[in-house]
Amino acid sequence: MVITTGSEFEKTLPPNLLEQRFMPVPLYGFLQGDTIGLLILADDGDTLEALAQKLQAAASLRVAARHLVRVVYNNKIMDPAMTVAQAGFEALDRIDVLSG
Amino acid sequence: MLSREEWLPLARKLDWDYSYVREEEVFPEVISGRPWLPHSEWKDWEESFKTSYREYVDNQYEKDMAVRAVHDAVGRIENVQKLALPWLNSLKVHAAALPLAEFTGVIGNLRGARFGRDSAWRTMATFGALDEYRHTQIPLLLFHPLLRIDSQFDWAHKFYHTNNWFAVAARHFFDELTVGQNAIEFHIATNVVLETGFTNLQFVGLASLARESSDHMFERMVTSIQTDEARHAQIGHPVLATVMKHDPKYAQYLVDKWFWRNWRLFSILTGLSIDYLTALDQRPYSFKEFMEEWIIDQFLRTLDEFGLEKPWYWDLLMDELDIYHHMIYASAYSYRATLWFNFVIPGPAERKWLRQKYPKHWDDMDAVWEQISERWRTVGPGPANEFAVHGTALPTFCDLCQLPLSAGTPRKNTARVLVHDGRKYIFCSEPCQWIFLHEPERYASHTDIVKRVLSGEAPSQLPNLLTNYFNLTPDTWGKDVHNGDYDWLGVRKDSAA
Repeated sequence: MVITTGSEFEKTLPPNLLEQRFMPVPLYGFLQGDTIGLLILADDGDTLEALAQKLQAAASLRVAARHLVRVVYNNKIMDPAMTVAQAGFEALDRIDVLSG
Repeated sequence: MLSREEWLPLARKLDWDYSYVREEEVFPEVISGRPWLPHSEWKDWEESFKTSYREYVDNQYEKDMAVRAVHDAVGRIENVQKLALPWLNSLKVHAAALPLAEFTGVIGNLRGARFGRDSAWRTMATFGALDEYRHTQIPLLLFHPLLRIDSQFDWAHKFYHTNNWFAVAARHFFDELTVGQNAIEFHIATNVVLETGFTNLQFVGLASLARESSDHMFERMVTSIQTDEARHAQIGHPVLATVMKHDPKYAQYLVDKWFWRNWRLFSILTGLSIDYLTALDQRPYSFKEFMEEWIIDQFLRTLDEFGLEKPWYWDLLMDELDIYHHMIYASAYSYRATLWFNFVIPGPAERKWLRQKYPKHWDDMDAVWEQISERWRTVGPGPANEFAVHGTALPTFCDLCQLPLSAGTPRKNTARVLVHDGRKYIFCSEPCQWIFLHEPERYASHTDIVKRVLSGEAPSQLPNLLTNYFNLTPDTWGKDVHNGDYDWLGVRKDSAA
């Protein structure tokens, strides 16, 4: 259970790369079409588009990837170019990644 | 000498007025339960099925001999080896979940045997404790020896002693239901809601499933246990009637709370067994049909009998009949190595049947199974590819029921975040949050698997989590029953090489 990345196939990242990472923010991620919520570690500097991709990769065993997705937080559709820090996500918040 | 009809009423009612201590000290509210009432309010407590100790022992002896005879005739290892593989894994689920849960029932009943408010109640709770010992010992006797043919049966003893996520959920449930409970709430929650509402009928249904699956040993075991349940479940009814008379709002709360908590575990244990782990041609009904015919109707009659209302979440519960256990099964399949039994993918025929039985949401579930099947097609079947068809991101769990955040539908998961006293919690559903908020002091300090991982208490890497924290081994962790080698996938192992 590689919670550092959420990637389905990704191996543990090398230590030097891990050291370069921003402060991780653990989030409850819910991908539309999936049967379970997943813990995603977001980096402060991740864009929401990248975060959505991370969740899609983590759920890819159960849900086929989609090109067009939206990140929803507190019932608001978020700008995909915004970073996690700019979006104000806090540890253990819920985010949804919806189709279309 | 007095006849049985003459002495039994005398022997049942042995209460007296205390002169050296106050009644509140003999039966403190914290452990006898609320509402605290003087014994005069409980003195008419009456069980509908009366028995003496001698009669009890005679009856139980006969039942034990009957179980032993069936075990000797059809319970040998070679009989078990003939069972269909999915059903064998349903047995592993019950072999682990049942025995020590029943043992917690011993503790709960012994609390009633000491702190029940009337002597007849205390006597019946003593019999109830003996029943639950029996329900611990019989499945251990029948299942644990099967580890000679399959090491996953070791979990008959092991399950509750691990930090496996499902064991954490089951312990969270049974610790509250039985081990740490006062006598009044224990008997209402266990006898009225769990046993009358669920397990008494569940065991009838399970016996039917076992018969269809040619598992006569399991059929006999659950039938024998059910006869005990039908008797001792009666303890809770006069308890509920008295609470209803003095504090109907609290009675309603207890029933609402415990029906939901029971539903959560029951839907997983029984829903998965009926709709996935029983061979298609041996399924007498769908889980939803079973619920509607056996559980829901009976529960509504019980509510009516006591003048109680339907739980406020009734419509939500009806919706969950169509989807919750399907969400759980697909999630658990994709994290099967975190459990101690094996799984099967529903093939085209099973999915056609599931679509007929569950038309409301099956399109969404079918897409999930198609995606999982496609992964097997891509990587090919075989044990070496198990983890290529397995989740790697950490799944998440409800802070009340401790089960995966798999409520709602694939289109809209109903998980909800709550900040309480500066700490963040997440619940799979509105009823779980509602239960938490009624008694936060009871639940707030418990940490779920996710928070244990984040705090460093549990390892974050899958292999370490499986072996060091969930107590699994490569032999015992769950796999696909066929390692992805299904005819209908079109990539049999022989041709995949």
